[in-house]
Amino acid sequence: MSSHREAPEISKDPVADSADLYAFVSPDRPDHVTIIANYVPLQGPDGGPNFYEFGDDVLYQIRVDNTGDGNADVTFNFSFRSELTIPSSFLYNDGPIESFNSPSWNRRQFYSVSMTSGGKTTKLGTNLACPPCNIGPLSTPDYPKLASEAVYSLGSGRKVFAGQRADGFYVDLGAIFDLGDLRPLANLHATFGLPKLAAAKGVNSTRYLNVHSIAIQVPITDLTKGGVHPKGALDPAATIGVWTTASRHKARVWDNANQSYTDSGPWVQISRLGNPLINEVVIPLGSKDRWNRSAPAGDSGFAANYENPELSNLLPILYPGAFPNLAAYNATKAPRADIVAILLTGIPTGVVSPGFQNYTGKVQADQLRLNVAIPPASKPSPLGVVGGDVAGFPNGRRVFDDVVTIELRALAGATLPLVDKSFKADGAVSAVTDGLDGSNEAYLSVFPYLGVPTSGYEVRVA
Amino acid sequence: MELYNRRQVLTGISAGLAVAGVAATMPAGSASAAAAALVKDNNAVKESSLKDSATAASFDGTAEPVVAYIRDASSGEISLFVGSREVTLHDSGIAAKLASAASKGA
Repeated sequence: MSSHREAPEISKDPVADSADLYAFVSPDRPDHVTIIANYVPLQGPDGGPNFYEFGDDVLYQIRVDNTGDGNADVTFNFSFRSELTIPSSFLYNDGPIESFNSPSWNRRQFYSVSMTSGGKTTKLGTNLACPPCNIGPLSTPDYPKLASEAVYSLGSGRKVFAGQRADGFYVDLGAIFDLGDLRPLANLHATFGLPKLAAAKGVNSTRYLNVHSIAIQVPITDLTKGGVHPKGALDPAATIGVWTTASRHKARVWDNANQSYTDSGPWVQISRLGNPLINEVVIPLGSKDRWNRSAPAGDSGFAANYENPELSNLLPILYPGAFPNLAAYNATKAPRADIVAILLTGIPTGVVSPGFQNYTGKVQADQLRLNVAIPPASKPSPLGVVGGDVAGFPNGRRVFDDVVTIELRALAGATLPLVDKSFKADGAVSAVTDGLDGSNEAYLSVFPYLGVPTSGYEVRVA
Repeated sequence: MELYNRRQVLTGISAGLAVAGVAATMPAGSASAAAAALVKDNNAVKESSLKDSATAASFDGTAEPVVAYIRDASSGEISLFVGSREVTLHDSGIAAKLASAASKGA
């Protein structure tokens, strides 16, 4: 959950809170791109009897820019509806749910998906069922098999899944938000005059927590400009920018007569997510709600936050003496062109390596940029491009990418030499991490890639 | 957003629509304004008041509820939310009447 509860307003609206976004060339179908947008973050698996679901009153969208103007050229739209089959029961289910036809399954959710491209909206699927939440060995006895029923083929090579998954994101939230007290470096922290803490391994805050995922896998040609298959990684048509949004109707009135809400008016965006952790740690608190409601095309208005990231300025203060070169660079007030390139424009050809680029032009827009012509790595590194693996973040994002460490190191100066040859990254940069190793539930090797959610019965303490 | 005049709103647009709720906010200083809601079942203002100022025939539909929002009655701008649309009406007379009704209903 790289963007969970990240802004004041959306933190009160979890069903519309975009938590993570992934976009990658599918390792088992390299002619197809998989995009996963997670919502409803930080689910305690035993949170019944009203287990988690998408918002029936929320419009979820996955958006793709293939022209570099910061606006969507292709949009996938998802709308949900819920129903009760046993309204007289308080239970989510009154017996084992062994298939989607089970009469024991009370609270169900269905959805429709469409694709808007070239000004035309095409219905791809309707009345598609979400799987139930993973309740426990009596209620959902063979969950992997049950959930696999919720992977639908939409024709033309497209697949879709919407429902509960194990969170794939790993982060030590407790340490990061306790004044950046990264446990592996705790002995170096300034501690504000308080007693020193001992260095320790990180604590995975999201282990055993679940999310609700909207996953779609489509041919590369669904996403590229003109529907072309790029000729190679340096083909300008090879890079797409991806983000997800959630919207609600503008007006809501409680209708006492019908004992329900009446929603009306145009959809207004209340949540968005492109690159991980941006609205979390780059955008300041006073601007976070506005960022969630705005479009990537207007992100030049937020550029100052990327050019002089607050966290980059804090690191030398929190860890005195560990980042002298970064402190000196910060003192010049020079904009961080590396951070702007990684997050707002993409990386031009030749900056990382002669055969790599994911540059979309001068328009500054926070999008997850993916060069679809770069094939999946045979030996992927969770550190992505920083780890020498150009098939990973910030070239798209795979489910296992360690985006916390990648971004912490980038902000600490690891990527600054790419644009300023006179800058030498501090020795401590390679030690910057929140100290986790991807110890979440096992990822799947096939769509939808995120792991089987932890069941309520088997809930464990991290 | 669509822009309509008073006559269009009272005839063409609202035909077939039921006014289920009208929410109004008032200029600063009007203590009761922010929460003023002219909803059928709270008796704040009877629907007939609206019919007096418009026409009875304008609100006889049943298809979709309409929510009206007046951010500043003195501007005369009324936002109408219906289905997935927003219609903006400029009518200081209606805005003033709704604001007055909202004050009385407080």
